[in-house]
Amino acid sequence: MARKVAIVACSQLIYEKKRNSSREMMVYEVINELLKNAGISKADIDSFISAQNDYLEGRTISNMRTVGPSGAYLKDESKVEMDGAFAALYAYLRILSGTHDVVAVYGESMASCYPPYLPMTWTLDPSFDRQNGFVNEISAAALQACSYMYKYGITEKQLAKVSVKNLENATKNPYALRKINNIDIETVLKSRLLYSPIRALNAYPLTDGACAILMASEDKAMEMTDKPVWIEGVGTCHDSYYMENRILADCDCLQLAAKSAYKMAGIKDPLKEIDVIELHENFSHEELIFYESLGLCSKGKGGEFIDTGATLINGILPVNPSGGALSANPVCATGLIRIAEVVMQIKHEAGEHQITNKKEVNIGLAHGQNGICAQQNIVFILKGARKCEM
Amino acid sequence: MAKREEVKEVTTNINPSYDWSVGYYMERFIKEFKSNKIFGVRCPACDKVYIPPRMICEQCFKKLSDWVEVSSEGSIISYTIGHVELDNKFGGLKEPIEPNIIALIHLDGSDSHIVHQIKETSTDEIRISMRVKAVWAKDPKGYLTDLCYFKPI
Repeated sequence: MARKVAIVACSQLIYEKKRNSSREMMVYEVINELLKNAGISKADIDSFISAQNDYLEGRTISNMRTVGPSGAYLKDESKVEMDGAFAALYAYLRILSGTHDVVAVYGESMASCYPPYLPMTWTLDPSFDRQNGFVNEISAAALQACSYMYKYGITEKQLAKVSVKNLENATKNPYALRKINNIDIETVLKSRLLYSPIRALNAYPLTDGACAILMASEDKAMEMTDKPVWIEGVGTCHDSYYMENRILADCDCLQLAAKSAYKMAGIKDPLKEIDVIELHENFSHEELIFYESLGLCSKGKGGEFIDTGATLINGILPVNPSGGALSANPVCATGLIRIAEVVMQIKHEAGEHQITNKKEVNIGLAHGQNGICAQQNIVFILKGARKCEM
Repeated sequence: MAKREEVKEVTTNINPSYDWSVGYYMERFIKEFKSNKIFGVRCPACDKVYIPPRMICEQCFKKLSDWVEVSSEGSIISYTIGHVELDNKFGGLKEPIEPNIIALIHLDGSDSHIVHQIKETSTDEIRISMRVKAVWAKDPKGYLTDLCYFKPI
């Protein structure tokens, strides 16, 4: 019988356009906040896993310098050069393996430090797309959005609705960077056109920030909290490196990742069984595609699904009550933030952006992604204490 | 770099240069541009023709070696009008001299797409399924830049 693993605490710092401190202090602060929230000291932590990226830090083996600030000094430590949700997977596997019991996971980056958008172009095929210079994360997202809208008759208004919903939710989230009061569809449709149909408010904001979560084995978790949030399922899937070889209008690899996570967690009807979803949507059209991939609606119906209001904070299945990545996107932390936000909702600790129209928020889905047009996806199913028999 | 505040920030320019071997397949692909030809490779299992030529069909997990010439004409699968462009030195976005049309193009005889720019048309005329053809450099040298852009047929 596999061990059970819980998330016992999480911490976030206020996301900023330009944080007035060093990256090391940011890590120190988010870890200290985590220790405070968990009511433990760093001596209680066995292992540290970070999500950070050498290109974003301008330093190779970027985690070497965060050993001290994270509390990993003379401890077991490793990192992923990926979204933070994949660091959480790494930590989960360490605990499942039995080699570690308590693992701190953190993700961080500062867009005010690195040359914005260039690191993603350095992921491209150096022999073709990188030489030509036509593909970057926004132009690629625009090609995906155009392809999706054409294939399924999705409108710019429906894309704008995602931004309106998420940025409105963000006004209630004390950590969010981009909050726009009284935002409406017109506000989005009048925002600066970047690569058609992607406008400034359809795209994530450049962000400085960090997030951390604490994961523990069942016995340790029960010692530390009376509100553990259990990892019930996880699934990941990787699509082709070449976006030109993918069907951009559909995110089949997220569908496969979700299928694995649902199977592991025993989820048969996600729309009925899941209480809250936090998605890593870098661009508003992605959220609509992801609704379809997660099986909340059928293929091509993402636009109609948002039209129903189902994913509003007071809808039948709130998606991104925090404001999602459209409200703050510190690369490498974003997927971890999704996990932290789901944990906060399940623990009923989300404050002003707590979902209040449900009797209980007990099962949540957190999503992370990497790469151009969401090449790689990960889905976690998290569950509160109340129905945790396995 | 953009203006930096003294003391609080330091700027480090990392400017390494990498020499990637493009591999035999890309080398041939690029060299064929000299004679204004576009070559792909066909998967022996699923028959898909990949351009640029890939060494492996990911779906079938087969090595590809069957070279086929594809057409220099094709159709627009998706497009975007760039009202910004990337600042390749400092990062971030800047204003382009004029809006740039970037398209996902399906070339006749191939089963994958390439991203390239469309010229000799207007942002009003561009649409999905528009037929386009490659425009080659006047004096092709067997470089990637020999394929200048695509234009409507």
